[in-house]
Amino acid sequence: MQKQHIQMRINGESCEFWVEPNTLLMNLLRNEMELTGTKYGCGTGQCGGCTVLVNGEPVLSCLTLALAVDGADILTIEGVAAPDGTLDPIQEAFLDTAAIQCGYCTPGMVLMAKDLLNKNPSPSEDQIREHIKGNLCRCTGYHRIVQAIKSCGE
Amino acid sequence: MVNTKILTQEFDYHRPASLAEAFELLAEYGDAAKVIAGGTDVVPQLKYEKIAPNHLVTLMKISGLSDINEDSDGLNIGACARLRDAKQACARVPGYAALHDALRSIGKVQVMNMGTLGGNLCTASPAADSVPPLLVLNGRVTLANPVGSRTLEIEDFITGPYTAAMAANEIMTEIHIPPDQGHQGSAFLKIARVAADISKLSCAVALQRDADRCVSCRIALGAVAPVPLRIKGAEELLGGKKMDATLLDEAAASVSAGIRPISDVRSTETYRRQVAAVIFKDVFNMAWQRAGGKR
Amino acid sequence: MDDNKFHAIGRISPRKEGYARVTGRERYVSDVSLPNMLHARVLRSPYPHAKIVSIDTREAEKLGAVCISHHDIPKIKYNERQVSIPEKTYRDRTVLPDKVRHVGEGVAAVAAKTEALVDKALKRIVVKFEPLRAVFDPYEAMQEGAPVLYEDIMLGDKVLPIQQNIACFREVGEGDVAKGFAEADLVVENEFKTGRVYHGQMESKAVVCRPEADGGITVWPTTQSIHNTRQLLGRIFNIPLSKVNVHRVPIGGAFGSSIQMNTPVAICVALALKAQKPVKLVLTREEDMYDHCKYPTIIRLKYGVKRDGTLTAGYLKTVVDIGGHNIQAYPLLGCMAGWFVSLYRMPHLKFEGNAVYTNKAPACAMQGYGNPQVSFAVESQMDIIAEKLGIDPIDIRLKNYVGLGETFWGQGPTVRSVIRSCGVEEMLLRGKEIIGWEKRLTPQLKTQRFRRGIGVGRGFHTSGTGAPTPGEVIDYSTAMVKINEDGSVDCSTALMCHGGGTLEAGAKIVAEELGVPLDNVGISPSDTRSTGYDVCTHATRGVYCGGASLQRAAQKAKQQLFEFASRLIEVNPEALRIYPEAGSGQGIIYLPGTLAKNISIGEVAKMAQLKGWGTILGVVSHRQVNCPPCFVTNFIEVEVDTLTGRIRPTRAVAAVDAGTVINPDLAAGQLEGGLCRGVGLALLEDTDYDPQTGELTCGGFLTDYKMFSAQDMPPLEDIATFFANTYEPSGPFGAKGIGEAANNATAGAVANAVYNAVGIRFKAAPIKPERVLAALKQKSQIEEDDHGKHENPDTGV
Repeated sequence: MQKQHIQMRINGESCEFWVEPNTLLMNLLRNEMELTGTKYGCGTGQCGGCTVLVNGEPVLSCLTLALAVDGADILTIEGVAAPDGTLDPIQEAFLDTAAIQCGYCTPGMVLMAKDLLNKNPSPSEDQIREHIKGNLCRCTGYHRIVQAIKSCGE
Repeated sequence: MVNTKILTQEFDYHRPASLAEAFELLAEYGDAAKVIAGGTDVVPQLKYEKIAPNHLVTLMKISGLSDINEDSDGLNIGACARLRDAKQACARVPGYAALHDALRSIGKVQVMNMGTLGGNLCTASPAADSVPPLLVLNGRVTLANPVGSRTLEIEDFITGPYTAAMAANEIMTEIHIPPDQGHQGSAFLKIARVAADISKLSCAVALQRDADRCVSCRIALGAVAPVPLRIKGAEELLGGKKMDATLLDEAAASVSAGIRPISDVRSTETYRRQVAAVIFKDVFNMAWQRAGGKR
Repeated sequence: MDDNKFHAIGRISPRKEGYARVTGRERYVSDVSLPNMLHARVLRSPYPHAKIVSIDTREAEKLGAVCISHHDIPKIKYNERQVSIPEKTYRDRTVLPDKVRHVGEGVAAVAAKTEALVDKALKRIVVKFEPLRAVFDPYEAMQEGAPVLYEDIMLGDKVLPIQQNIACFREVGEGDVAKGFAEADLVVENEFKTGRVYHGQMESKAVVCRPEADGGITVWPTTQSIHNTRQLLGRIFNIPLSKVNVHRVPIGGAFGSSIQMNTPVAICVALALKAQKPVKLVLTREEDMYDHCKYPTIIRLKYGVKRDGTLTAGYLKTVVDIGGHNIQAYPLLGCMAGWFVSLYRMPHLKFEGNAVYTNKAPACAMQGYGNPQVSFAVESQMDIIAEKLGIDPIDIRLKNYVGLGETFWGQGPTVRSVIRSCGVEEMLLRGKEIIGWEKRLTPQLKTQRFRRGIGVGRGFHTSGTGAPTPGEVIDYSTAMVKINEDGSVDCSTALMCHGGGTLEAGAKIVAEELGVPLDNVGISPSDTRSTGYDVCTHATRGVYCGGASLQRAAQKAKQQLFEFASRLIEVNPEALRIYPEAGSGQGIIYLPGTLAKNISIGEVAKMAQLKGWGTILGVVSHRQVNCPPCFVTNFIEVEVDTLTGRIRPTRAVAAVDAGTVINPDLAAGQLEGGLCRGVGLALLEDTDYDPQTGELTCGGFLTDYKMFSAQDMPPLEDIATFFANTYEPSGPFGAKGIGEAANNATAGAVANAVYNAVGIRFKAAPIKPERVLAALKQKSQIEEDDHGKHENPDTGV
């Protein structure tokens, strides 16, 4: 296996790596970058816990080869709050609505919410549920997560 | 047990910038090479150890393969166009509603952003949601090879479960859908266990309507046979006829009889056979309504 | 103006752990990383039942990997769940076995520098198996001539021969059931089934272990009990407990799956000790699904009832298929008896339970611990009886439920107490208004394709497992509350939080008791060396038991605080009070009736330090003498598509009687989550096994183990939650638990709703569309044939 050189921006920071072709983006982020907010939940694209934004679009990092995102702009959950720690309104909403229980699905949910609100500043409840249907939560029944996202609408 | 947390398989990864380069790689590596687009099928297959290529050749850096354009000849979707973009393109054309519905139902936003229509077709799953709509919309695929290209009807492209009529040195470049011929209504529905899930069964219908007459009708079902299937018997029953409930019931019975479902982890043969008839009627009615008013 | 007299209890406040979780900074076990750490993986059996003839790890070791098999680990037989007393603990496992009893059971393990290398090494281990005949059905397993999973196991320190693959058996009775049934005007008997559900917690089981220079170990495991993990590891590996430190790490969901020490933990410790380097072992999702599941049940339920709806007798007989290991089947059977007895009053009763070994993933507690299963049967049966007698389902429940002032069984027959708070009636009456119960139509009147039905279900769970005398299970919590020199407070407890806000509640209890603003009360990081024993955060005991110990520790600290304060302001300590002053963030000690004598807690603590009086703290080990029921009521509306058999929940009301509700928003969140999992249990979830290979038909992948998504649940405005207005005198500030109650009544309510929609009684969960459609077709056929005579077409298969 031949390692290849790749570079990308991760949460605004320019990074470069020598990676083996079979490196998954999820593991690159978690291991090389120690950005452990992105979670391994199933590895087969079923739970959404590994969601990150690549060039502004949510993808499943457990099914993405690192080499495939050479040159891309990546946003993980760690990059959502401002550098000084000020929370994004979505994050505030999740806290205010008690939409977080064990917290394992939260990073994926926040990123999906961010994507939705970027594209549709005032989503209906149906649109919210459609948008997060690929993200599993075992704790909350989704009720407060949907509420939190709805409260961010204009 | 397989490991889904890391990719244990080892391979070299190639990023050709042109089709010509891609063909060279395929020629060089032959059976040891596998083409990859969005990765939503290939990466799981690698994890499940269903395939073991030594070389992955990504098509995603080849310019032109993700273009989508519409002209008088119809809609051309580049094989590497993301499902999300294909869906948006279909949204603009009312007659393509079946494909739009199907792409929308594929499920997660993330998969829509990663997966490609070409990839979905080349994987050729019997349950692939994009195939029944392409069957009823007379979709065609273009397969390029080192010296030229050929087109195939979708029906001829998928020949068996996970089997596409594509040679090792061919690469799909485009999916073509003929233009909406007016008074065309189409629709798609799937039945699954939960919202974002592989289909237990799916159905697509495209029809031409003239007042209360069904001028012509194409019906296809997915996940109820080794390949997604047109039900020509039912189509013939309806073609040219004045629509009424009895006729629709007859067609539904023909659909039910014409499929070859199995029992698997998702559902049973009996259920699929019974519900195929129900879903067919639901889809037909939706398509009928979209083709110009209520039944 | 609100009528909440508390400053912290019952108030909604931002979660302390919330910030870390919403920014991705929370570190779960799989996020723990140590210098020089090795990665590990377990080689798993491809056979459902086989002897291990030999394990050859030489080729793997050549790659530089450290390998272990059963030869390398002390052959201590243990039960990974350490909650029961030794005499009642069934021990059938070792860290790694010499005989495998289910597909996916760990056989050997490997640690190496990278995950890729680990996998390569794993593939080079050569294991020779001698496959044995396997059995997957509990009734087949009990037949003569069935494959034998265990010749014998250990119960306490005695060898217990195992016959007919029966892991354990329990029988309980009161009165004379034959007499009771004879007195009845109507006897109803049915068989119910619940599925082999998977916990589906989002974080797979994981562990990191670092071997220490002094021969000890430090462990970061997914667990619900750091102390039980510590004690078990100390015993297995013969390390003094003072050298075994287990850290509390946030867990990504548990639902009971980490009550027992998870299987990777001891394996990881063994690897770490051999490698003399830190080792990290994280299960893949598939391994996790082969690792544990909910107890599936077959329940035969017989009730005798008078014409006026009063129960005269009840008999519940159950067979529980526990899979390849006995984790907590004996207490489960006792609990199932307890749930049965405490749902509805029966002058005469009998319970019989058999737990049976089969070659499948081992079952363990999952939210409710037999209660959702028993309640599914009981709540369905109550509706069946109500219809036969022409009594409203709510009325028959009101007539028979075990409530205020009555004796109720805790977690089994040996613990009984009197109910001192009860909101059952309030919840039924208010819930029925919200759902629109009176507008329910009978199924016969429903003829459209899509039919809706409303069902009720009620239940309870015990708040913990406390009792006035020592019993079969250990239950107590140790807590320390310490007042810092600036008036802020540290709370130390080995309680865990699974996400429901247990530690939040603990902080609020301490804040309330000490009169300190909540912001200044911190929950300290916790490990086994710096905390006293807490049995486990399970059995819905977090707030009621754990919170109570924190309250008492705070009370002790307060006593000392007042004593020191009295030295400074010269007031008798008994006369002092505290109130929280938000502006300064301090608790202010004062003498009621005068402004002249007050001093902040911080000032007292500081003076105590300067004058050398000491640190103000309270340490308490507390056992609750009771485990009062937290009651729950669900009203669920479903819609059935009679042409496809599909059922979806459309509206729901979930109410709980948790006494004083400490975290209202988190408590509501528990109800909402419980609804989702309960509906999943009722309609969707099960794991099946291939009878040829013994493999899960879904392979362990979430691709084919489905759980509901956001799009499958009802809209926000169609789910209502509320709390009963009750106060539990024995609970901290009147609180009881909620955790497991949230899930117990849902499946029964769903089955009742389905009946109300289509007039078919489904007695086996999950109620999948395939069966629904078959039953609907059969019913319409029967109706055609018999002109409407009611026969139940669903055979419950």
